[in-house]
Amino acid sequence: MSSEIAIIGMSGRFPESPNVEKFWDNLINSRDLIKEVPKDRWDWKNCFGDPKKNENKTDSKWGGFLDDVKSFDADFFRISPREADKMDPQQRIIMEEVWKTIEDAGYKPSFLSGTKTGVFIGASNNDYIELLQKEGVHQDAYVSSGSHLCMISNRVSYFLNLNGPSLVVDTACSASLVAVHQAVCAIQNKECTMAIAGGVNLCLIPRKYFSLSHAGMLSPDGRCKTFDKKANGFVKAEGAGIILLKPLKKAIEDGDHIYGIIRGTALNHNGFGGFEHSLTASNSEAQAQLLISAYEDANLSPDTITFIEAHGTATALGDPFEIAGLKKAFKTLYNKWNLPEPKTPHCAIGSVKSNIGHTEPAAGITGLIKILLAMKHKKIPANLHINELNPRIRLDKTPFYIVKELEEWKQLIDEKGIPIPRRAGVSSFGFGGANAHVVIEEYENKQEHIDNNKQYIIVLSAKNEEILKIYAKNMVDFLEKNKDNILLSNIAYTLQIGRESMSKRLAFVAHSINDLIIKLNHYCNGKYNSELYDDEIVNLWLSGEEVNWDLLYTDSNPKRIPLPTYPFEKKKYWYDSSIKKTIIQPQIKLKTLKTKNSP
Amino acid sequence: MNIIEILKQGICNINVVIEKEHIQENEGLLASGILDSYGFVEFLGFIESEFGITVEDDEFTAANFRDLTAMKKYIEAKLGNKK
Repeated sequence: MSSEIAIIGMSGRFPESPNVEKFWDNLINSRDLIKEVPKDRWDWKNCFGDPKKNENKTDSKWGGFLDDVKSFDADFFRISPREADKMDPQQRIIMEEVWKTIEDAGYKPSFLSGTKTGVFIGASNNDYIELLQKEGVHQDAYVSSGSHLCMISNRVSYFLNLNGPSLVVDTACSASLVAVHQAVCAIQNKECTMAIAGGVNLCLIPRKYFSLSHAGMLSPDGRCKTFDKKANGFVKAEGAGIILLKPLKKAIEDGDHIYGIIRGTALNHNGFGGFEHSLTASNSEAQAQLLISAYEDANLSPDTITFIEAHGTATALGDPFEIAGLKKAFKTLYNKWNLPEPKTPHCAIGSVKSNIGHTEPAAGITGLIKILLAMKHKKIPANLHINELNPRIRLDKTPFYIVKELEEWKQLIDEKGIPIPRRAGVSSFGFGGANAHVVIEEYENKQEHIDNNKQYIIVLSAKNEEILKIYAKNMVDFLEKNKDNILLSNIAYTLQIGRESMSKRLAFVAHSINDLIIKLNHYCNGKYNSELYDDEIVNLWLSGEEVNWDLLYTDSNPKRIPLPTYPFEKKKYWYDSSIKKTIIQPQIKLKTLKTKNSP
Repeated sequence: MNIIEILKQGICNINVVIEKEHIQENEGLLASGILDSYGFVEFLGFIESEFGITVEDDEFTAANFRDLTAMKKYIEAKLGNKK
């Protein structure tokens, strides 16, 4: 790889996991997050049946679903309710997740305004427009901008005033990992200085279930039994994930918090060499070549890779093909590096699909975020539903083993006794034959300084008091869990320079993290009085002025750290209401006007 | 030994609704829907036990398993090597 790329921010939402912390909690507790199709999507009973015998029937009533796809903070993004109603919720979710990702990196989103930041999003399903058409919703101008897939990234670039490339990638199930590859290349080619990359998927209509279950690709029992003998297909799932990228050198210079380093990436296509010459069939040979390219790009010894997040779609043939490709690639790489055959397996294989199902175009970013979380917590989550390994998967004399229980992710030690950073790869294969692989390495963030001062100014703001209270409460929850591992100076600094100042403001001086928790709790319980914390700078900021916070840190060097991000207001925007608003309301208004003006 | 007949019988043991005469020798078993992914793995197990061979990862290719004709050729070669 010509230059290494750092991942400095991440955010995402997955089934029953409104944020990445909850996602990790679900993974380490081996939760299966698949459930019956919720009523607010469609009534599964209306289309349940044998797909081979009946049109428009599916034998799957299962999926991994986000808790809430109808809510959006339209006001926050300066979007009118009429427009929000017509917007693909995938656009809305990505806008919120991008904002959260930038804040997670400790930057104000406005800091990126006018920069050559690129936006690369993987998406391929467009269920919302089908719903609008089916329901006969008025096709106004908002439907075009609201439904075109390219708008998922273009709207982000527009709202944040970003001037780098802005595009949506559709290679089906590999889309978000292809987007990450393109983002990495765009930074390396100097097309952009930073990049936002990720993917999104929602399941709002049953139509796609019909053809997938007709082809036998969906598990009728709703369990994604990747690598198991009884694997009988995947389960469709929703999800969205975003990461923020910049050159590693620059990230270190800027003192950013780094989640991991992208060491290598590769893309390829199966050609027509797939099994049975079918467009949708797996091709272990092409997959092997893909992995060889990715690890050659990374220039890393293959025996230092200790975790592979597999595509693992849980089909009885697809899984063994993937493992065969993996084996072949590593055999070649071992030979190239003149390494002896591994005596004991040391590389774990996992697939998050066994927990949440297949987030399709968002699958690659889902796996990548799982790796970043695993690196952060130094643990590898278990694969679920493995009772008996698929008999076609043979792992003897290979570096690989399948993770069946949550395990510590141990660091390897080199011959000089120096620890080797944890390294992992993630695979994503599109059903049209477009494949992607990304190699990630952990990064140890050094906490060099200690708190020099006895007190720090804490600021927090939101669009209104209700949201500010939620924000303060989230901050308390976060601090309670993490107070032993973070510095008050970093918290203060990140909130001062890494969050937009909004109209409803809270500020005070805190002497310790415990003091900060007490004061935030006071605010949440209505006991906060700014007069109690009389301080010139606090008062200045509370009065609505901007403060040059850097002047406070001339003798110290605090860092941006991941802290809770803005809690968006949850207001429902959906096409039902748009029908009433666009067609019925204006008529009522006209009538009223007429009556009032009539003599 | 009529390899094609044995293979057809193996398929009928797995897919109990298909008739032997409806299985064509030059048709893909997955593409035609005669076997699904799960059934194909079972069929591989049948081939291995019936002919006493092991299908290695790198032999499980389109060239060897495209259709019954390709499989017959592959099995004959494996059996020939065994002798």
